[in-house]
Amino acid sequence: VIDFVILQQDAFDPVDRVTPMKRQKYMLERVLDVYETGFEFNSFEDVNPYFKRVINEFKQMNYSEYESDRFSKHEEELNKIIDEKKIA
Amino acid sequence: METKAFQKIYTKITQITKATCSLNAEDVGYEELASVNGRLAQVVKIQGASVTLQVFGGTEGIPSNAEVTFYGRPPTLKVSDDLAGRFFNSFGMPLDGGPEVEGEEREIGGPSVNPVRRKQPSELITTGIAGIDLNNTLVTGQKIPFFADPDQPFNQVMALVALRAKCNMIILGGMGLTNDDYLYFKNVFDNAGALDRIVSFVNTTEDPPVERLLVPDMALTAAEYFAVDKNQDVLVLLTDMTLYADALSIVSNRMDQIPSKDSMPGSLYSDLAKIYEKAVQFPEGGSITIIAVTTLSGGDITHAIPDNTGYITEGQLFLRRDTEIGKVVIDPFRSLSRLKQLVIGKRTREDHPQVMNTAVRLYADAANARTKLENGFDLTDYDERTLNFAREYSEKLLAIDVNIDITTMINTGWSLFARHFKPEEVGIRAELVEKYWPKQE
Repeated sequence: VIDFVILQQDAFDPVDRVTPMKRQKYMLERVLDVYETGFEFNSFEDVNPYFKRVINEFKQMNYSEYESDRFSKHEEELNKIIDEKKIA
Repeated sequence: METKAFQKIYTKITQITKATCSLNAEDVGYEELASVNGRLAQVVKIQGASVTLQVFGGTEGIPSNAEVTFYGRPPTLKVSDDLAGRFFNSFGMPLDGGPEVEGEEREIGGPSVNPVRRKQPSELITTGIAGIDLNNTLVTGQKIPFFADPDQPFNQVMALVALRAKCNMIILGGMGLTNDDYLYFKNVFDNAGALDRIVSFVNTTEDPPVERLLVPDMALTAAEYFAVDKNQDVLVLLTDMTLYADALSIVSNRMDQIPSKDSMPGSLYSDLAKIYEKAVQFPEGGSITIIAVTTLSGGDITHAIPDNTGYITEGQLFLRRDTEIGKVVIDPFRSLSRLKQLVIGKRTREDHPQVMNTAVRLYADAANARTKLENGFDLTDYDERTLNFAREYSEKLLAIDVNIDITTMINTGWSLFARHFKPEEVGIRAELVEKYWPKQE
């Protein structure tokens, strides 16, 4: 997750090519939240597709203007995905 | 070569090596041409009264009392529109049995264009090869080499690029070509009916190696004529720059210069930069784009020739044989066009950068899956799909025999994504996925 979301910046994307420090800090904290969250899966096969969805929502946040409606929409979607497998 | 009416003839050579000879002479300039026992030579070093000449045909049989005369000028090329469609040797003399070209005589090897007089490159050059157009897009005024092993078909790729590239004029500078390669270029250009926009300067393996030092300057002088005088977009193809550098090292070593890394002269960087820096986009419209070939010894990119080349040029294109599909591909991991960002998504469709990036990322996932497979690990469903994707991606986009336009390349990329992956697995910007993800797959 940290590789795809934090380290792989898209230099060709009009939004992601420049990352203000405030946004970078926020995104890193969100990724670290995922690291500290416990997840439960029925089988090992479920892990990869699940985290592909998590990464995709993080990337869509990276492609959206910080604190815009689109950014919030993808963040809500991310929260929903995390809640699906999060250990209560 | 003409000589002056009252010409000084020197008859006392003080030192002879295999490629050079030295004598004491007056009023001589660097790069000036001379005749040594009837053989063409050029001034390469002046130290006090001692002048060293590189003798293009080699010094075998030249006695120490041989007649040496200086022409008072460096090598020249007669330029005019009549150059088009012709084949010349390293000295600009016709190889094809045709008449000598009449035109303005210009010194070769002049300076490169002042950077403030240049325009930032911004126009796309398409080749039809997806490994270039999609992943490593070329721009007019760019300088970029192919890095290839000697057994790879780099001259065939150069011929393909020459025939497909959308530019006004193509100048081929062939150094150390085998006769097969020379005839291959000649036949391919002839059969394609493209000779009228191609000028070739050829040094074959049968010619003395030192002669090939003149080829890039001859080719670039012709290129400057078409780009500056005619405002044309000119593509210069130089093959093989490794053999050019080898000739440099022969001369340097025979002049007792202390060799630098890999027996190359210490001036290798400057010698190569003098050629590559001729690539330019003029504000008035003309341009010179240089695509060269640098063959690697055993794939060693740390060798002085590719290493120095890499610092000068704007990226490199790596040829590799893909054993899985049995074809030569442009390796997406090691290839790079440093100017592609000036045109992709601007001169091409908006989704070009993301399709390019995503395809290469998935191809990297396939490489990881292959490593897992080779080490005996079980593959996941995703791994299997990346391997299938990589096979099709190599076949349909990376192989050098692909010949499609850029929009078709991008659409092919989308259809490969849709065939093997779900939209959330590719991580492309949502608006682009909504707009371009194939609906039927």
